[in-house]
Amino acid sequence: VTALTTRTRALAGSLRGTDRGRAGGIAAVLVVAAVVAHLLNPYRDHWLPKCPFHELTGLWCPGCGSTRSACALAHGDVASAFRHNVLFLPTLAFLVWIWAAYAVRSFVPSLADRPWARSPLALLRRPWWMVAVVVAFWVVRNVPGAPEHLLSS
Amino acid sequence: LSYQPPAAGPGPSAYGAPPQTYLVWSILNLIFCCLPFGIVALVFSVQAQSAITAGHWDNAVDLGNKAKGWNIAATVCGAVAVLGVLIIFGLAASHGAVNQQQNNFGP
Repeated sequence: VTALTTRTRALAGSLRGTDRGRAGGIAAVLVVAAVVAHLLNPYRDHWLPKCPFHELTGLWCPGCGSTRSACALAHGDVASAFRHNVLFLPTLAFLVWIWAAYAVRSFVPSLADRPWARSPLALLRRPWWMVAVVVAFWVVRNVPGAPEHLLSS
Repeated sequence: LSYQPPAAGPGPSAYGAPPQTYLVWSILNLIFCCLPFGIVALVFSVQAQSAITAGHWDNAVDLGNKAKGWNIAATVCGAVAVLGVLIIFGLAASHGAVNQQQNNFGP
């Protein structure tokens, strides 16, 4: 066991600060987050932190519903994940794409020059549409009578 | 529209890699901290990205640092808010509010 610990430490030490270490570390964090989200149920675990903006104002913020979306996704319920926060799945997909391209460049350097292995961040020129989408979603989901999938209930 | 030459200042040639825009951090703050600070950070990240596209990398460094500062503020405020909620729940639970929650268990 001591030898295994030493070997693990040596591996961790050799990966520290490298792109491979970072890409692997992010993957580990994502896996742990998925397992935790699978164990949680926002309708049962009332101790889960609520959105301070929603608690104070009663209005939905652009991030409201993210916890429920993440837990629904971890339970395989894609429809609910979409309904609790429409922007959650597209945003998650974008962030996973950034990670996947980074992992390919880190672990398979021979593919690093392929166009599809480039970071999607490099494709962004003037991403003002991101701000526009977030603010528009913030306004629209607080309009009385907004479609159910835009609300967070 | 007439061609506008880029303003003077160190451009892509003066640095190796483009400056940090902290765009991913800003997006994560916006989703999980849901604070106005997250929006401000996103705006600075977008401005930094736009400055990189325009070739004004020195501006992008300033804007990226502002995005970083707002992101730190958003993360700290989010962490304080989350801890505050957990502490308040802990106090409420120790005062017997837990019995009410038993009725709300889902299927």
